[in-house]
Amino acid sequence: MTRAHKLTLLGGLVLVLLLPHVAGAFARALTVELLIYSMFALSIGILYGHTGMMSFGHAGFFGVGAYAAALMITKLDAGLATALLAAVGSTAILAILVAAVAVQLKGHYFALITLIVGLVLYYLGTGWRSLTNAEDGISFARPELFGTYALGDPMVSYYFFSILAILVIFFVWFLLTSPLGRLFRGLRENDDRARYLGYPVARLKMLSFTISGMLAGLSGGMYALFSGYVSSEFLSWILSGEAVMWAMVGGAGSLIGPILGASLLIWGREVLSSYLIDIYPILVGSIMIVSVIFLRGGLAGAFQQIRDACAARRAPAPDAAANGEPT
Amino acid sequence: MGLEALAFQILNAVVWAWVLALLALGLTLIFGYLDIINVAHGTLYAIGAAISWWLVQATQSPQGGFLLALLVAPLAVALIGLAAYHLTIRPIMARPPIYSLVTTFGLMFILQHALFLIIGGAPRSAEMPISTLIPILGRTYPLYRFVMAGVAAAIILALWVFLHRSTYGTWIQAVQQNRSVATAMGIPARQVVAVVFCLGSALAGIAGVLAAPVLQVRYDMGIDIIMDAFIVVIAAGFGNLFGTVIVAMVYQIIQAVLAMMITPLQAKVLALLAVLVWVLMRRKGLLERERLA
Amino acid sequence: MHNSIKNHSRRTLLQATARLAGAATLAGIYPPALLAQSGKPIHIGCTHDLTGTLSMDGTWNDVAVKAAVKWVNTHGGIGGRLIELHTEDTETNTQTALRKFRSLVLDRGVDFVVGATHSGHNIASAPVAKELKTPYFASGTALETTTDKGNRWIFRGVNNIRQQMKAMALVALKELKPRYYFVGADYAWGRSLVKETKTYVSAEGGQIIGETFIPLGTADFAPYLNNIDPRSFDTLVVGMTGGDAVRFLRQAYSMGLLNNITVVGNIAVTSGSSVPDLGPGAKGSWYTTMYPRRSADVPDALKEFDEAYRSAIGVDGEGVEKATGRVANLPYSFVAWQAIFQIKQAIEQSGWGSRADHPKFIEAMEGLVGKGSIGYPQGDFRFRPEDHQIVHRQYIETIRDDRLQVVTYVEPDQLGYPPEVDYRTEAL
Repeated sequence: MTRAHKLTLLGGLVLVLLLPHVAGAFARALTVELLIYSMFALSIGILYGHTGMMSFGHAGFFGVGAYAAALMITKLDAGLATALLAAVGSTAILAILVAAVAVQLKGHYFALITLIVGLVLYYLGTGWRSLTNAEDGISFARPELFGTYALGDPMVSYYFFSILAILVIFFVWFLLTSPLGRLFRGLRENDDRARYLGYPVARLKMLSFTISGMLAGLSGGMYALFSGYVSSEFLSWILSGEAVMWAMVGGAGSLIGPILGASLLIWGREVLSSYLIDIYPILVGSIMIVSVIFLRGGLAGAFQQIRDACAARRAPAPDAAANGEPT
Repeated sequence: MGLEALAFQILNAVVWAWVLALLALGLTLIFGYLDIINVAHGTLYAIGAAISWWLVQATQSPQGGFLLALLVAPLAVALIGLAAYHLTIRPIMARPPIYSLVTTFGLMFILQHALFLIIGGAPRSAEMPISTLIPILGRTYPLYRFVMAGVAAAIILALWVFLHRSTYGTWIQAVQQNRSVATAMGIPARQVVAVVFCLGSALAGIAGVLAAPVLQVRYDMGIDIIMDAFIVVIAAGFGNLFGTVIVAMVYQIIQAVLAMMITPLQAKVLALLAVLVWVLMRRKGLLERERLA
Repeated sequence: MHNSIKNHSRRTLLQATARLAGAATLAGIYPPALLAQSGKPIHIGCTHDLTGTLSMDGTWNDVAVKAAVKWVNTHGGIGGRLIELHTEDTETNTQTALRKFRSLVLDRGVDFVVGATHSGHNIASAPVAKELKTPYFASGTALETTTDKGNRWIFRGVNNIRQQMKAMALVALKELKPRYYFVGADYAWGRSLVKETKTYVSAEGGQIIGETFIPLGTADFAPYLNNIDPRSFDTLVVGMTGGDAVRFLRQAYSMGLLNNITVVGNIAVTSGSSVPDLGPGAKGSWYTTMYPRRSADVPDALKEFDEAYRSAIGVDGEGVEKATGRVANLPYSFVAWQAIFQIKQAIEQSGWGSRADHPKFIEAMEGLVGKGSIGYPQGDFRFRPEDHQIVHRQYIETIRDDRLQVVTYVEPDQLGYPPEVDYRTEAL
């Protein structure tokens, strides 16, 4: 862990601890949602932004993680840690199974497999009413944190989920800046070349997909625990599409990109739907279109450009790689 | 009862397969030929349906309105498609197709909400232009459903003829295969791309007109059908007209037959898994195709 | 609600501009004249499905609530205090509904929430209402909201599905031919309706031939209709709402399924649809409803209040919105209108001053009695203290002579049942 790493982690934690003193209760609740959805967007970032594989069914992992956590609690009376472990474990297994089958395929066909898997999970979720209660969903009481703190207390909920999210995001960053992250990006650039150089491409892709799936599953589990609710809507392809949206608008290839994208789009939608309630979907759609067309490399890319422009001498051209495109 | 019921299910599945194929073909033109993922394709279908409903209301004639819609809706939807193409697709044409997913997702939000503002949230009832019922397989079946399938089939045939037997059709195929070579040969590639997008959109609009009298018109009616269309398109192989129709047929029939034994949702899951398995089995061929491209 | 394209876009833009400008003059709802004199406003939040599958209910609830708040504010407010209304769109998505509930309470500081007609939202919001200690007025009709899934913070101001089908049983089930088939949408409400109706059918000695549950949003019902043999039953109970129901009826009719079959259902089948919209298959169908579509069918004692209510929400005597010619959602929107007045009454009765007085408010709501009036155009009612379930009159309508008209009504005292819970055991 470099000094930069340590400072960033500290910074993130400090922000989290400070927020309650400057922001109201709803901002806190929204922040938790933004952080959890950022984790979900990051899972797309890892997969596409860094390894160059696009998944159109990632809500399948989010939803499976959510249901794993919820069902652990409702059926097996599990505690928080077990519920979260179930979320991560179940999606790890699912991801490995899917990856084993799909990584051999390229481009569109890989995406098709993920799309189908996502849809299959959605229809299973909607059809298996006795297990999932379909769209009506399952409301459940959350177990206490460390056996004493009730998650119903907004402050407890805020600290627990936001700190956990920061730790997870930090871990993802650590991963992406590690040699493994570089390997992933090598695959994104040109996996044939990587193969010729002797790297175990298929295994690396599987690893990336598994990590991505587990991250999505963890975010799903956390979301279910945070809202005390889960439904088959958590598995819908629209949510899969939204995750891709967040990652792309923010800039899939960076760490901060998916976080920015998720935060802007979700917060923006919240605000717009409250104040421009009659037409906000049109505005949200427009923002998506405009930001993707005009901001190469997404929001993160735009910030990078500004930073570079500010950096005294030469301003390098926007980094196409910032958004996961092959150069 | 058992065998008749099964035959009936298959018949109904085939009827719908033609409409699904029509919608999927619109998508395959755009996706298969242009490498553009148009998530808003389902909304164009809904717009086509809404235009049909509106014309029936305006003319107070289910037959007149329907026929008029068959002409007007594809034109109107093609125009909307053209505008959408220039605003949301052309700017990102050079980038990987994932970008088109993002911009057309935004487009879907916009178009769908615009439609909602115009026709409202309640379903709009569209009368069938033909209300005759035919007794078949021990049940009564609306003649219109056959007409719907027939018109879809005719349009698909016309599309095939256009693509494979006309000059412009050859241009479209040339542009799809290799745009730079096509341009070098003097084909106006940019124009062709725009035309293909409009054509694909128009097909979605017609599918909407055809489906409206049976499924009724709702501003969000595109959401359910778009995924099926994507599955059919990708499973059939891009730009493969004949294959798209076959896959649509098989996909619908599998679901219909399975639904006799298990629940429809379970049938859907199995049908999807069947597609999955089939794609995997073809993967050797796919890998090679990718390498050549 | 939705004018011609031009008018609506203009109105939308104007509304949007007004809100953006931050003007506290939601034209007329918050009359500046009273502003100076009143005490602190009372903040009421609403979660409506303004978009999505149930937007029919949401948009009309919105119209009704706004009209009610406007009326209250122009007639002295609540004990001199004006109502400030905050509206959120729940997009027919329960996740969004939960987030908006929290937003309304934590961000906008509302003290009461008037909720959607969506039972899924109601049930998921119940624990949140309790957690945030905010009274929640549910408009959905699934049973669980006031049985095992509710709590002391929930009030349901509409007869639930059990009460509604009981009314149908008392009036119609004995008239109808004895063999019944059930078709329901496969979710909480649809299953609830079918389950409750089956109980009454059996009690009346009817024969239950079979049932089919269909996933929400199914486009083509032919595969299901294929398996239903119309010769084996006489009456079809339809447990579906809005879009699905209309499509089902039309497709069923188009496949000859409704010849010599009587359709029975809840009024949600007809929501937003004119009689021609439902198609010829709906001829002679029976519906249990909470509000007559036609003014002519309103009991004399309530006629003047009905007229005032319709006038306030822009609906004519045939149940059609004057500005657009579209059928209004009267059977459900009155719940939202009445909720505002119920809140007013409970506040005035209990001396509620702020959130700290919520326990007093809740106690006043438990057993609240209302009489037919401008605030309660639906008529007399009372809230049961044990399960916070309202009991009010229920009407039975049928489609006859191309009109949806009332056959008779059932008085509230016939629509009770032993409460399955007693929320009063919960501490506040």
